Amino acid sequence: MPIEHLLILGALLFCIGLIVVVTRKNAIAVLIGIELMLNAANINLVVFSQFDPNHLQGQIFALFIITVAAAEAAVALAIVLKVFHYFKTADLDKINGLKG
Amino acid sequence: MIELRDLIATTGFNPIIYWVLALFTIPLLSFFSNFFIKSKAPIWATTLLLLNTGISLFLVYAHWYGEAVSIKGVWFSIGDTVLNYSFYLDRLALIMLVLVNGISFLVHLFSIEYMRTDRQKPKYFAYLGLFTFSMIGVVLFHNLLLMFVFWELVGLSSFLLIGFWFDKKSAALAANKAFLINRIGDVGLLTGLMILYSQFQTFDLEAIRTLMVFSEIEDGNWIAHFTNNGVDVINTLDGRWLSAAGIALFLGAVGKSAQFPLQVWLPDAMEGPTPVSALIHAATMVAAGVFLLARVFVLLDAQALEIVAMVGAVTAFMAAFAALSQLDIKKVLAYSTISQLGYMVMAMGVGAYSAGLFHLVTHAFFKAGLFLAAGTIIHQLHKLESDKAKFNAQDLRVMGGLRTYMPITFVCFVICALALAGLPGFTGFLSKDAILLNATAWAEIKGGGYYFVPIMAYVTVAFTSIYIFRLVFLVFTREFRLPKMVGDLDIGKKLKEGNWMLIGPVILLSIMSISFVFGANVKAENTWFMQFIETPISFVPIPYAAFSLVDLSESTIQGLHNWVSFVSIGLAIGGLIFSYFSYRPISKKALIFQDAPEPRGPLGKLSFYHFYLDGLYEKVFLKFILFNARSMAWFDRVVIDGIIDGFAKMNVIVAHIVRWCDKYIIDGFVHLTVYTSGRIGHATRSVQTGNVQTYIMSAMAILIILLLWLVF
Amino acid sequence: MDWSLIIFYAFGFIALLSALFILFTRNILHAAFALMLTFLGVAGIFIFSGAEFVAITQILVYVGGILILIVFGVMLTNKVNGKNIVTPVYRQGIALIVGGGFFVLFLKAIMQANFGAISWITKSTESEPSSLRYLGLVLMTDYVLAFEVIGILLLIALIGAVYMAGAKRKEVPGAN
Repeated sequence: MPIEHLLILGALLFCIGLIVVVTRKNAIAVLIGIELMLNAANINLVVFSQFDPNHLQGQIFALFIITVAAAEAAVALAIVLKVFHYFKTADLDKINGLKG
Repeated sequence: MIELRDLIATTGFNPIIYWVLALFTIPLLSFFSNFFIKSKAPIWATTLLLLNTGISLFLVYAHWYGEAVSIKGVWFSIGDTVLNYSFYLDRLALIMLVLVNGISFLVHLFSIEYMRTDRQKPKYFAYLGLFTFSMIGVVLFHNLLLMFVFWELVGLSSFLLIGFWFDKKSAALAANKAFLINRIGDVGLLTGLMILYSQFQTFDLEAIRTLMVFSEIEDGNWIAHFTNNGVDVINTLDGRWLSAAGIALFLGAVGKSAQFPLQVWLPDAMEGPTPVSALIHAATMVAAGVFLLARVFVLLDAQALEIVAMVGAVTAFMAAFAALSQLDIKKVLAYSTISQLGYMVMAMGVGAYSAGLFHLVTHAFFKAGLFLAAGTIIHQLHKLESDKAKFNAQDLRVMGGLRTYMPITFVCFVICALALAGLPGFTGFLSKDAILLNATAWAEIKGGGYYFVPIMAYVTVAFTSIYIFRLVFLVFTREFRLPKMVGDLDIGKKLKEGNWMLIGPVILLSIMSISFVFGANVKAENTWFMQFIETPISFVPIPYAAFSLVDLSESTIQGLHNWVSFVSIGLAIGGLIFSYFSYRPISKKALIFQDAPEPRGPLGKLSFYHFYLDGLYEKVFLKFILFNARSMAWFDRVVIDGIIDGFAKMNVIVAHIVRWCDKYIIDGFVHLTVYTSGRIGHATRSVQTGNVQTYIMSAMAILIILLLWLVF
Repeated sequence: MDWSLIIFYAFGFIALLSALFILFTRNILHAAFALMLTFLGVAGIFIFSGAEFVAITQILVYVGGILILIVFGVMLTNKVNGKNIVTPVYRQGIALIVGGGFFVLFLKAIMQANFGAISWITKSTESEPSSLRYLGLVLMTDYVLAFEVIGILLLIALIGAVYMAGAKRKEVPGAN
């Protein structure tokens, strides 16, 4: 597969993830979008790693990303839960305490 | 060519200057010192005056037969102009000195007792000293300007003394009136001074006399030609200025000597203490006007002299008429003074210089005597006043029958009254006779309407006699009216003669009114006075000069003289008989006199209110002047203050406008800025939506733009 | 017919289509499941790119962990009462623009990049196959720091998540 196609796939996934983040009202949906974006970044990395003599740097980076994504998802969820307790809703439009 | 500088040159040293200075200094010392000596003031002042009298008598003794002494010196000089001062001691001055000092001394003596209970005694004697000092100045100085200075001082002293009891409103007003009317006369005097100065460039009377002789009248112009410090001077004025100068100088005399139309101040001046009236308004100050006329006599031309004579005659008549109905003893004597002054002025006007001065001297003595006698009466009557009995001690209605209580006063009063009326054997007859003779001769020569003057004079003789004997009968005969008017009066021993300080001067003055003083002969021209004081010939250039009575032949005089004397004596005795029948003890008028009201008939009113002169002046002048003053005050208050207020208001309005501008326009700018900032801030605040997704979106958008720009 | 290439593309399409599904669906649970499909697709791509371990890790962690977490989150924050959990979508216009812009950007970058110029890219088939053993070795020697830091990060995340979502604290008054 020519490398450009995979890169284009990664770009597409990233953009879709961005659009999901921006258009959705629900906090969990936003999380989903974020995971999508992270995955797109992973694809990019892994695609380039196959040209590396040791196939390694990209992959290790991808591994780390996955780990961090996991940690971040856990913490994000905890925060969402707390916010949900506080605001009694998961509607992002209603969570506008920062509105200045 | 006459050199002016020679005329006014400083004279050499003359020891007489010491006496002159002493004569000045002593009364001045009395003035200053009496403010500090409180209790002994009367005696101290009287002693000083006695000293002064002594000096003047001494001077008479030493210099009577000699030439007139003239002392000149330089007063001050401004650039080329030199003003000198000069003293002139001729016989006239010597007699005046004795007169002024003597009567002043007698008045001082009288005042010791009269003013004994007054708390302001020291001030009184100080003022008397000031007056004597000023009067001596008028007499001694021969320089018109310096005479004027002392003339004004005399007016000031008169003011101070008339208004001595200034708590009494009428006294203060009378003092004001006297001073103001005097001032009007003084304007005339000043004008005359200035005319003479502009023509002759000097104030010195001797110099003016000399220069006047050498001046000429040409084509109606008055030309003076002399040299001043080598510079040739030719001053030309229209001939009418010569008469004008004379009339102007006469105006000064009109004011000071209470002639028509300025005689209204003298009756009111009776508000002052009686000794003051005796000194100032009988004997000396009012005589200053006549003295001035005497000094400038040679400078008066025919026209001026005519006016002088007219005014004198009219005044004499008016005042005598007014005296007929007065109810206040002092007022009668005041009007009498005005009338006799009219005689003196008239005498000057017809050219009878010495007769006028003679009358001045005799009048001084008998009038002062009359005043002081009246003062004694008033003083003694005051002693009867108590809380239960209040009356006006000067009112004729409360008097009567005082002959029994105060016999000496009665005798003296009668002597002086006889002198005033002009009956033979008394000095008044001598002087009045001389005046009447001269007036008749004058009228005969000038003829026609000029007879007005002597006719007025004769009528006045009759009136004089009537009013003075009316006074005598009402005051001294019949019974004492006061107890009938005021109940609860305890006379007892209280009403009697005053003590020697009151009576002494009166006696002395009445003795001086008996004719032996001036000569044994009954005829006037044989008195030593008339022989020593000669009428001078006018120095006015010929076309304008008045004719001189001296030129009349002896026989004319003799013929006239007998006739004149008969007429005047007849009139005087006629008046005496008339008032006797009107006011004698058992007449109807005397009986009811205590209830006599002020006159009601038209003639009576005309007399009582003195021809309504006061009212006339008030309506014509005072109202106008006060109206003027009030309009000025209104103008100042409304218009000028209005303008200023208007300014102020405008300022305030401008301030308000500025404030409005400041508040709305300038602050408006500030507010606008604030508002705009607020709006912008508000607008930019909307970026902070609080919505996380918009933040992300904005960030991404910017990122894209950046990258697009980088890549493309 | 190169079957590996076809399957490669198939995985790619699966990933893409699932992502599109996530984008257009209203139902969160459907979105979560589509996410799972995406993960699987991506994992397939990983395998075909020679990163087998990463693919497995992807499935293990993402599908087995994160996806479960997401589903838990959905269930905890919504009332589950049998009806579909529907959340609306909005702001699509501008989002499309932004996203489109990004894509155009990437496209441009990719097209312009001359991958032939990078020397080490062309030697694709001459490289050694990746081995798990080598991976572990490198992890412990070259990237040991990152490894340890990740460990600490995980620890922190764990503690944080437990603390935040765990013990009941005093109720803070809510904005609603």
